[in-house]
Amino acid sequence: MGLQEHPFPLSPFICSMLFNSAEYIFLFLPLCILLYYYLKSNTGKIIGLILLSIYFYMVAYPAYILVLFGLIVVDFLAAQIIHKCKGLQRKFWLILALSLNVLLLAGFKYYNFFSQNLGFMGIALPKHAWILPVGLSFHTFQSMSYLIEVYRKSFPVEKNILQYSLYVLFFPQMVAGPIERPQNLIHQFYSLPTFDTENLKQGFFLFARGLFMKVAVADRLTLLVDPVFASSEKASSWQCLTAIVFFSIQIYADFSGYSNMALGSARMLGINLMVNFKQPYLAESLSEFWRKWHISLSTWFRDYLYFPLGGNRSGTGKTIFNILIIFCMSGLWHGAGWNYILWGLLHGIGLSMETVSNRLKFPRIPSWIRLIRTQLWVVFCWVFFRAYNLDSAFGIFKSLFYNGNSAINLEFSSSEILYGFTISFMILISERFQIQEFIFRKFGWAFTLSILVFSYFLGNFNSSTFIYFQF
Amino acid sequence: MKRGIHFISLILVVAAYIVVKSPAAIVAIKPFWFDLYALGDLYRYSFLAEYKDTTQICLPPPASGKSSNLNLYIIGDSFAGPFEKANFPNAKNYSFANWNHISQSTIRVHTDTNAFNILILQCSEKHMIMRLEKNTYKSFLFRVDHKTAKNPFQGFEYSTKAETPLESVTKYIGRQAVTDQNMGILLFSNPAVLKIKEAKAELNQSVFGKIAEEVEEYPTKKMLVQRMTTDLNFRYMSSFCPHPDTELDSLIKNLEKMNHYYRKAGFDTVLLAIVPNPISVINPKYKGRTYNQLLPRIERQVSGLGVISVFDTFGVGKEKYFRKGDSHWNKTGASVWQHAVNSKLNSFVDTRSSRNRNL
Repeated sequence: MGLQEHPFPLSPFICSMLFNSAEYIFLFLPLCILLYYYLKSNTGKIIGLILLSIYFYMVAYPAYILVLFGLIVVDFLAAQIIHKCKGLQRKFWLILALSLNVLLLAGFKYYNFFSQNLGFMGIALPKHAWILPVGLSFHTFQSMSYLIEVYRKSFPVEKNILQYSLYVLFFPQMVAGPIERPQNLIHQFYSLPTFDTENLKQGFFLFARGLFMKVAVADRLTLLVDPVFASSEKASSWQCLTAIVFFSIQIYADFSGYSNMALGSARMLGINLMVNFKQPYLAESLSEFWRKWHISLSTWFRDYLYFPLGGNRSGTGKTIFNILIIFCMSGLWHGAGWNYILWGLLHGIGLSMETVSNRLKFPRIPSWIRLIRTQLWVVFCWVFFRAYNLDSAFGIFKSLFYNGNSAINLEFSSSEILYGFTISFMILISERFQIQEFIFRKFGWAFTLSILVFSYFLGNFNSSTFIYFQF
Repeated sequence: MKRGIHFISLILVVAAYIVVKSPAAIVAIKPFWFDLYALGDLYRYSFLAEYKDTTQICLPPPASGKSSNLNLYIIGDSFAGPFEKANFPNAKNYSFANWNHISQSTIRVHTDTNAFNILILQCSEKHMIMRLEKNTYKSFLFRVDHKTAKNPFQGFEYSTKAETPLESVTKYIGRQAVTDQNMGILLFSNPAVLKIKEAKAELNQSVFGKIAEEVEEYPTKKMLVQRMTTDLNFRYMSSFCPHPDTELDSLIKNLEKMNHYYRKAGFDTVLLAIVPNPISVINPKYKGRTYNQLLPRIERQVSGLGVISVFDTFGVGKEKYFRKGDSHWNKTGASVWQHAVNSKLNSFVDTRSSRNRNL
């Protein structure tokens, strides 16, 4: 009696189903589209999408679906109670429900960070070894958005748990956003569309664009970025500079690529998700940058934290304080590490300086200088975001300024560098003048297919998951 | 009509999904599908057309005509895996177990007290350290029942651990079900798709000077070598990463413990057969590095076990024993090993025959 032998070696690595994986592109997405349009009734479509989304999530770590179910049930019931209560009771239930969400997030994501830092102060707490559920930061924030909107009475409480479940579980945006608002999404579930070629065409185009950004830009640039951040002491100053600049492009291509694939997947089903990026590297100020970068998160912090704190209506000092709080929180949201907090704080400082200069009405400088100034600050801050920790970030700067031309051990392919600069430049130009949209309007499907062909031939399909999955 | 086509498409996608997710289904259809591995495991990484190769089967030697009472057991890897009983005419019975199966499932074997039981530990050089480390070698000590076998020869017997419900779900839903590999077999292994992959590989090589990171082109461009055997960053597998004597002593000690365990359990003799990394014999000074001599050092120092060595023979012929797009030996290399094993078995047949005559 022999073992049932699998002909190929097994991979021990568990990761979420990726939009750029063969399973998603050739099986899961076609299955969704076929099933979704095959089902006639709205309820049938909703149940179908929920089941498929549950499967999509369970590919990452099956047991954690229970965490998500718990979150859905608790928030659904909490919203019903908030809706029925009045006055202080209403506030009490909101705070309780939000606390539960924050507690869940903190337990998985921040507990070890805090216990480690308390350890430095002599307070010893045990650490846990739980894996962070994929996309927990995203769906807790989306759930909290619903609770707050119901509390503010700007969105009616959802009576149907299926609709609400789909709001949290909808697979294109479940694990890395966009962090949707109930106003934008839930009403679409009440009349899910029938098959429409235009939706499929538009969705496919968005998806192909996103795929190109991910595999042919982000995952190609990572070959030049990762070695430097992994061992900066071995890199020359030129290599450090190249890696820093390319990381700025990489993270944009990675996350906006993911967002476009999410938007495209949803669009193929006739559902519109919010746009998450609007040419952020063409921003002339940090405030403009944050209106164009990860828009769903920036507006979340703005609407649910910055405005309630008083926003910019209470004097310069309070405004700066609010900005710093928001950006530190944003840094912490991205990761449980001091490098993320410093990244957020640096953006907060930059934005505070902008606020002060605007209020003091300094003479305006030419727009191209403002653009360069803004982007230099953004690129500088990315070093802290990408580095493994603060030491590693300072190590990059040390190598940048002191290593000179002596690359000790890293080999950079000049053609790969040339590719990196060319593709980065082309992306910026194409976005500035909306060239892709123009060609798509002219050639439709043919252009989409050509993007896919380029994605295949230029793409690196060996790379890892999306950067924002870790958040 | 339209809805019927829609329904059939849906069923087809669901069926494909079930096949991809089910390890049993993919094994069942494998014989009828295009076998990418046959073209070379290193070709499969690189898709460089010039290294496309085909599996060559090592022909068994002619039957010896001697009657023997040898039972041959081999614990080995993909090098010894393809061999069959016919390749060892001096063995009355033959059974093979893969190292991975031994560590992943419960294995037992009934040795026959009426026969001469030989166990060969065949291991490739790149896996030697991992398998003999302090924490791993014990997982290869399978249970041996030494008794007079009344039934026909049974060979290795496997029994796998029952899965927990969570493990079952993870296996079939999660990425552990090797979905990507299965998709690769189903969709991306046919000759038409290979042409596209080869075009991409050529583009990357000619424009960006890049090939798959798992492999390196040997400077004479006659073959591919596995990067893990040449790169100093692969501490366990590299032929060039030095290993201190203390580490080697510990490995040899563990090897001797394995020998002791199996001898005590009923095997009459245990033999060691290490298959060298191609780069160790082709070019021990590859890129100015120095071969760590792992294989010759172990073969020289180990005591209590017999050694089946092909290192010196391979060293003379160099490239001629290896496939150009695969990390394994070719037909010639396999024949050399087969000959070395059969010579060893022959010596036991002769010894036992003369002992029986004396008795």
